[in-house]
Amino acid sequence: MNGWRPLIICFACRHSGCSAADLGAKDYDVRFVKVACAGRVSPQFVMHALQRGADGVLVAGCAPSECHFSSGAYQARRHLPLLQQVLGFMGLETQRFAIVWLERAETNLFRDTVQAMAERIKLLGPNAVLREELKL
Amino acid sequence: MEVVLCRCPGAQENPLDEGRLLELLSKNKRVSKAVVIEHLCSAEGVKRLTESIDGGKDAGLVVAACAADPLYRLLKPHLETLGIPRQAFEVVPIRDWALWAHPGERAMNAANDAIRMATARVKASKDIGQWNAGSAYINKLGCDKCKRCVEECPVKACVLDEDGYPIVKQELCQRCGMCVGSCPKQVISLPDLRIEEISAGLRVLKGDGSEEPTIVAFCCEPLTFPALTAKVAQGLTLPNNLRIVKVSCMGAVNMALVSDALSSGVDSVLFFGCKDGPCRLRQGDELAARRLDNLRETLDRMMIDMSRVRYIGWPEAVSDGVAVNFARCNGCLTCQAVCPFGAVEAAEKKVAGKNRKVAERKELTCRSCGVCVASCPSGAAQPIGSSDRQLMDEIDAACWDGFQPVAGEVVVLCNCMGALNDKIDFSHLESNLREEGIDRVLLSDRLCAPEGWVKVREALGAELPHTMVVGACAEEFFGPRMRKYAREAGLSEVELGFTEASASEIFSCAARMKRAIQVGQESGCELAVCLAEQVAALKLMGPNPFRE
Amino acid sequence: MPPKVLLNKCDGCKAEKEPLCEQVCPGNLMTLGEGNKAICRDDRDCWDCMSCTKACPQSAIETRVPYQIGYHPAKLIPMMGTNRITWTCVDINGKVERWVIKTRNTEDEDEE
Repeated sequence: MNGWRPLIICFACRHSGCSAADLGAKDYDVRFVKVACAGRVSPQFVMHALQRGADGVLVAGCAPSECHFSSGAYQARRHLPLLQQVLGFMGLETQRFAIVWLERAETNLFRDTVQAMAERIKLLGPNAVLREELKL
Repeated sequence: MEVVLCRCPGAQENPLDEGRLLELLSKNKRVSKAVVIEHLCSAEGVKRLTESIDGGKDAGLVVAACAADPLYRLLKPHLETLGIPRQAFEVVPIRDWALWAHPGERAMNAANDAIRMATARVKASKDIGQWNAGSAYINKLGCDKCKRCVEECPVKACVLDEDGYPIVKQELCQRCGMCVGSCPKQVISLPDLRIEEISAGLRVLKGDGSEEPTIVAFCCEPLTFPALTAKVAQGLTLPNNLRIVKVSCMGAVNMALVSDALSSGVDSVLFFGCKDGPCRLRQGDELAARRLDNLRETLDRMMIDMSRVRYIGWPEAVSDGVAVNFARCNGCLTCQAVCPFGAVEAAEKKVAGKNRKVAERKELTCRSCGVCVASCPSGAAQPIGSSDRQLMDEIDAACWDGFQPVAGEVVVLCNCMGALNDKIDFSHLESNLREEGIDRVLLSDRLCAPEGWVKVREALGAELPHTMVVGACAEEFFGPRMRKYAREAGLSEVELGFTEASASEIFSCAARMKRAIQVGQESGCELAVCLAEQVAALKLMGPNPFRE
Repeated sequence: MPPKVLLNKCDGCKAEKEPLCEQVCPGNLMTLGEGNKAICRDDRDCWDCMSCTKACPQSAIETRVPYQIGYHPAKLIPMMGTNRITWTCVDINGKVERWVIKTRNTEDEDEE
């Protein structure tokens, strides 16, 4: 689609150990916003990213027994799946928002999730539903 | 088992004498083969490793190299092909713990000791067999149902079955290790914190017969182990015969291990843990302090000087806390319900002349995880240093396809001795950056060597920037080294931010760095003074009475 | 002589039905007494096996050495390790002796 690369914003928990280094060469663009815990990610950030033109948003947190803050990941599990449903209801393709829970140093799962997500988004095209025109 | 020494292709000042180290290792009965492999952290290095390891019945592998955690993650997926069971694999950071912490002649002993401890642990792990348990495991045969594990588990993952024996609920277990430290019969272990292994590692330390006291320091994984590593990378030298043991938390150290160490001839056992309660694994420091007090009282009655065993607290600088805007807080206390640490308490504050019920944060308990912030319906709670507004800015920076102009910025790019030239078009990247207002873009061949930084310093000339973004490889591998060389080249006043070499990453990194500078640095721990005092006290006390 | 319980260290095994000293005493002499602290029920029946001293998780029990051997200033104190016990013996003149006894058959680590 003339050189369009899907832009995926990944809200990564600092302790989950994922970074751009795990992804290698790719034909999609993944940019990280690191947070202390996945539980810090509230729906407003996901919406903000989508409004600013992200084609996909991924939240990467830790497996519940591994949360550095003991129940932060659990709280994220309460907020975010509901958001997935709301976004679907709003007309946004559900493949654009994903949540992945990683065990310590489970880089393969992270890489596979991002790749699969990017493949699906490439088929969907750029984010047109929520993107706001930036007033510069 | 096999021991692999990594030979780093980077120019190290006074590297360890490989030949001598191999000679010392050849005397170690547990080691079947000791080899040197170049550049383990590269694809070719890993290939050389897989080719040279035999595996087989007695398979075990100890890798002595620079940074433990990143190398561990890199090599872990290959363990199966190598035929090495997960628990028979260890990485020893001899760069940090020997070369940097003990300059000069002492580095050789420190390296040899660290490797000996690791080989003892791997041997013990083979003796007790491999586990597939995912969480804490209790050996019922030795348990006498004292229920201390049930009481001390911070998340109530340990419960009693019908016979009164404790069992661990796998889905709740956090692998913190409090139960390991609490058991008076030492029958509980975690998959990566097995008592028999740690004990075997401690028992090889007998001191080298010199006057320098042998000290074992337990460091906790979340705080003091990385903090001590960082301090060593910044130049702290450790007392001669100080050896580090990494555990998940101070609360996970069983007192029987201290007893083993002392009876082996170790002169002193130190606990480096958090101070004043900010234990990220909850109450670990409290439990450790209580158990230590008990042990010290026993030592006193045994005519062993109590101050051989000490708890040294490390003030934590990381957690900045959460600020609450009382005008916005509506007192719903949702934050209290979701806080994992119980850091919220209801309070009465006067707002606009009226008394209102609001939610306050207990400074010492709050870990700045941000869960309360995400749950707050009115946006009254904001983490200090990473508020919602700041996070939105970061998202903006990440999403922007145009670049934000930053004035006076310097960017240093590294092309890894030319290896990255076919992956990244450096001249294109450079012109992109210049177009957006970065006036100085420097390109270096090798930022993981001191010469690279000397050249950078020369290129910067008289005007040093306040901040510098370094686009290079993984920060975990070479971050401490790059910082050290940068400091030595005269750039200690410059704030460095590390990122992968892509333009958008560089810009979001620069934006983040600006914010980070506003937050304070430096934990201010007088660790060096503390250690020096302990060594002096030990010298006065004399050697451990158990040593012949 | 009966074991002496150090009341400041004993926590009654958190008031469990059977504290560890009670579980291990072969003569059924240790139990929880006043204030939920351990106490030896019958002084004369104790035969100084020291099981309670070794079993106590807080090291809150001390054996009184009999008069004929050493009496008051003398001490015999075990420190429990994972596979060994470290004994300290102090005689009435204050001389200190220590020795380490292995309690498990873990291989001895002589690597050199």
